[in-house]
Amino acid sequence: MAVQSEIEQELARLIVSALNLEGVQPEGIDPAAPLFGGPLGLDSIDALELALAISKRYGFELRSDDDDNSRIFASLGSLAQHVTARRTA
Amino acid sequence: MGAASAVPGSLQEVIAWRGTQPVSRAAFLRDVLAVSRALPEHARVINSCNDSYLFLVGFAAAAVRGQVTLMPPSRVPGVVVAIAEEVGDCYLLVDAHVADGALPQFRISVDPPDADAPRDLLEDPPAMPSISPDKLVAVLFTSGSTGKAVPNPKRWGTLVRGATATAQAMLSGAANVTVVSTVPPQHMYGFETTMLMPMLGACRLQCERPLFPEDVRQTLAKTPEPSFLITTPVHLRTFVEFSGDMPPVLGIVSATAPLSPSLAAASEARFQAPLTEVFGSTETGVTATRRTTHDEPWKIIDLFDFEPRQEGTRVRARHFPEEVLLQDVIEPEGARHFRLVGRNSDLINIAGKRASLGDLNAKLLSIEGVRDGVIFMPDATGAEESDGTVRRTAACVVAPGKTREELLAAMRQLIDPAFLPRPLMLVDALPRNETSKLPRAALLDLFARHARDPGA
Repeated sequence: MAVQSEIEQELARLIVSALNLEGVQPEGIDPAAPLFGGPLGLDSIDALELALAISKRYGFELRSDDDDNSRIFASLGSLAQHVTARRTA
Repeated sequence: MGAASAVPGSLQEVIAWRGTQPVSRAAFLRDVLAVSRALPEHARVINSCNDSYLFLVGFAAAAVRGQVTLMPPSRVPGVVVAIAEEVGDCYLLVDAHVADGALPQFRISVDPPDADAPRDLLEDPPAMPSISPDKLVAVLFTSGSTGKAVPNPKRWGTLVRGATATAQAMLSGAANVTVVSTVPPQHMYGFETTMLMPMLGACRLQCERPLFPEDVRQTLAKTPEPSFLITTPVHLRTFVEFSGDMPPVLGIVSATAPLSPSLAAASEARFQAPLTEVFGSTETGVTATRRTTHDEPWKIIDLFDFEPRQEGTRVRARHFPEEVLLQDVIEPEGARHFRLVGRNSDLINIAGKRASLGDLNAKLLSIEGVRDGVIFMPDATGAEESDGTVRRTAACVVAPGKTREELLAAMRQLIDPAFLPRPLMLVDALPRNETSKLPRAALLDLFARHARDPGA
């Protein structure tokens, strides 16, 4: 498993706290593993919760109706890339 | 009884918006007839289309062709395949490649919307396909308490009567309404409001199905007014917390889980529209409505009669083949209103998805290596989420030699993600009493001790 970057660590902690993933260690989330349908077993309600938590923390809104959606949520790494890009935009 | 025509209403009328692109009833009819001819020769079809327009065309085409559309309670592969194997002679209708190859697949395609073809159709209209009211067109499955899904067969006439009454109760006679929905069409609530109502000409469908608040804002902004938002308490909470402005709608409809008057009031303020909460079930469709902000009792739709019974509530209607027993416990207020008191404790509701704990536990115990285990709701309130907060299940599992990850991977094949336990705790034994029953207090005690010290 690749080492988490700083923003990935931050997002991993946000995911675990926002989604009440008790028993999941934030630092144990593989940046390359799928967030949905993967080892975390997240569903679309989690996507909603996560979008809400991200908009509160980083001040921008996620969208799902463009083709980027599956890419953004593909993994912790891709989510971190998206957040970094949007945050500094 | 019921309209026999598969596509009633004027052919020039808009039936759906694919984004900003209107689809006329003529174009819809063309697509239905073409797909209907192309479908493979099977008795039954599981419609797995993600695109709402293609789902609608697929359902109508199957009905015209005489095929029954099956709607599993979950899209989890293990559940879908189990139902397909149970009923037999079945294929998967898809709009994108599905990796799971356990069932024959047919990929739906329709011509791009173009203005000329519908005009041709209008000049030389094809024979309107019709569906007999007695024809079985759909089977919606609910998760039973034994590990096997329970079929709810739907005849066309029953669906038409139910959806027509739902449209009247929901839209209060408003014309040219477009429904914008955050709920999928594969369950009764979404099926009635976003598939049957547009098909019957009661409203138009916005085929984009937004998820996040920003999606909803953009989809509403591009949808011609007036629109109705079809959604759930979980979605409403995120819309209320959204920092931007929402375009006004003519009405909001919420179902699948109880809604608190305060969230209802905040939602009405956000969308500047009245919110109607609807009460229904897979067995009955929508049967009652209420204005939640006023904390009104539920008003029973004219078609239905409710009768409280010891074991639940009996619902009768002339368009039902037989009476239905719901697990919900009601308290009548006069002849046509009621208050909801509670529900049989086996049934749980997470983010609008319903499951039986008995069913979930049967699936858990079927996993290889699981010696004992229980999935339960740690919260005594029973996972009702009237403020839009989602509560999840928890599990204590005895499975020596298995890891949490292995168990969760096995569970994902059988159980919808909404019901996967959080947390899943590995324990040495369950606190069963001498009759091998599992007292809830002992279970909660084990859960609390384990939550404090996961290594214990």
